[in-house]
Amino acid sequence: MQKSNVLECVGLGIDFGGLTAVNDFNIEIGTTDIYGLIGPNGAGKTTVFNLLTKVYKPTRGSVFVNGVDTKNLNTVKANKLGLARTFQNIRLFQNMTVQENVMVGLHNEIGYNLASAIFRLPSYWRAEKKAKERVCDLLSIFGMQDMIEHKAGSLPYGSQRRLEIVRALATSPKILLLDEPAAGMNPAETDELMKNIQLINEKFKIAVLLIEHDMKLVMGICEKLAVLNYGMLIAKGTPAEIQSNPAVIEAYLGA
Amino acid sequence: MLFLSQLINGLQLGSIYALVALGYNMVYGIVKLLNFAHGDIIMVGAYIALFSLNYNHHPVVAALLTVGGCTLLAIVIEKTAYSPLRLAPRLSLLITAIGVSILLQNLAQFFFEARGRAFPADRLLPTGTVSIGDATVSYTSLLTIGISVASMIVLTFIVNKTKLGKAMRAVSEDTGAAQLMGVNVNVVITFTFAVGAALAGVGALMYGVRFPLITPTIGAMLGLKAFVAAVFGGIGSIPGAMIGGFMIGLLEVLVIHMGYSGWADGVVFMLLIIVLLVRPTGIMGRNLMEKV
Repeated sequence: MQKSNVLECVGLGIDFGGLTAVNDFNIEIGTTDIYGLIGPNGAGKTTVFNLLTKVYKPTRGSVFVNGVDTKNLNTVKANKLGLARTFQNIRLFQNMTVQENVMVGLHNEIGYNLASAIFRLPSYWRAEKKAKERVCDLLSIFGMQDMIEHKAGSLPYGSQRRLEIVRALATSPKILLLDEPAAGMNPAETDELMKNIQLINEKFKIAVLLIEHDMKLVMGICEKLAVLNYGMLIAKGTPAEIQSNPAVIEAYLGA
Repeated sequence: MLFLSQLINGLQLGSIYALVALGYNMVYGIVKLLNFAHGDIIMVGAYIALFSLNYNHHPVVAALLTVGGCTLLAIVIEKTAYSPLRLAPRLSLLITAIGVSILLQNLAQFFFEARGRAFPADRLLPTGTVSIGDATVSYTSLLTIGISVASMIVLTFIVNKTKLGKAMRAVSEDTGAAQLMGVNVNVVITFTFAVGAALAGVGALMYGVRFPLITPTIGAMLGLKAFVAAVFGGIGSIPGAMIGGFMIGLLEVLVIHMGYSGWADGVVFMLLIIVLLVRPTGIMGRNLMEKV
């Protein structure tokens, strides 16, 4: 295995009872790739994300993050290893503020103990101040630093999606998994999101794996694509190769 | 000023209920468990305080031992009884909680005897009274209210301003998402039990001062009343537990003052039925309707 791959799946698969949801899924993602995962509804794309982040335990195959086998890791440890994600159906902490949502992402980075917090020792204030600066820094990617006191649940839909990305970024990932980041966004918002994903990719030098149905976005920013249908990889390659691949056309058009 | 002295009387009782109800609501908010053993942890705390004070410990030492003992007991219960059932149906967890409650009561009867023991309240808090206007109020009433409110302020600070508090709220809203953001849920759950039990420890001290006769079953009724307070305020809600506790305390004192002291418990449980019929989510409760 090459050292430069941040994520590598070998023969990954999972069965739910008798149903094979994902089978023989192989992928190699380099440290700064923007990789797209596409496929018709129900193809198993989100299941792949759940396998990568250890929400599901794979029936077969392995996932390597930075060369480390994640076989015996749980969700929390997979996150510490560098996997962070967003959700297709937004799963922000709705009743917490924007700032607090990002702070939860920073959870493992904030260094102070409870005693120093209760007695308001200087180490608490220093850590809180540093964390707050980090929050503003991250939010400024999307120009959201003025919203820190808003309740996450009261934000407009597009902002909620952006906040999810910021919260995931706060965990200092090596690879960011985005599950339909442009869902429900209008064309102008999608264009901006494309730029932002590229910016994140360059600024933080991290890989991005994204599930998306918006072909303009996918073809516009992904260097490589993988196509999933009925849980099987049917094609991998550059956007141009995928667009002319007969198996992909068949899967999408049912011809 | 009978009104003022009864008001303070009710607030004193209410602050005890509120402290206990907070433990219920914090645990429910995180693991969706009605921890029926919570009242019995307070009973154990009351015994710790009683023995410690009879042993002529300094009141501060006795208080620390009580709070520490309750916290430790809750962590042990969580690790041995509840933690193995993390993925089991919620009903199994509820039945386990009832089992733990019965176990604690019987262990207490075995070790501490079933007879009532006098709680040396005068060694814990200063006795005496103070006059506010025409009303005469005991120091212990004021101290109970003060200590309880101070505990609640510390709790509010922990929940809102510290990273573990934020993690607690995150886990309570969406456990899965919190885990995916790197929050270790087991640590958060243990921490929640520990904080709830520390408040229970404070509650045990205050209970002993107010009702200085300790038996192995005092936790049962106290736990039930605090449960009513928790439901009344909104199960799972921290401010709800505080409001619910104070309301129940005031209601009970009001009923007793009107001359129906035999009805005090009945009225409290009647309130539970009314709340469940009219507004099952309680005063501050979140809407149970889920988006489809």
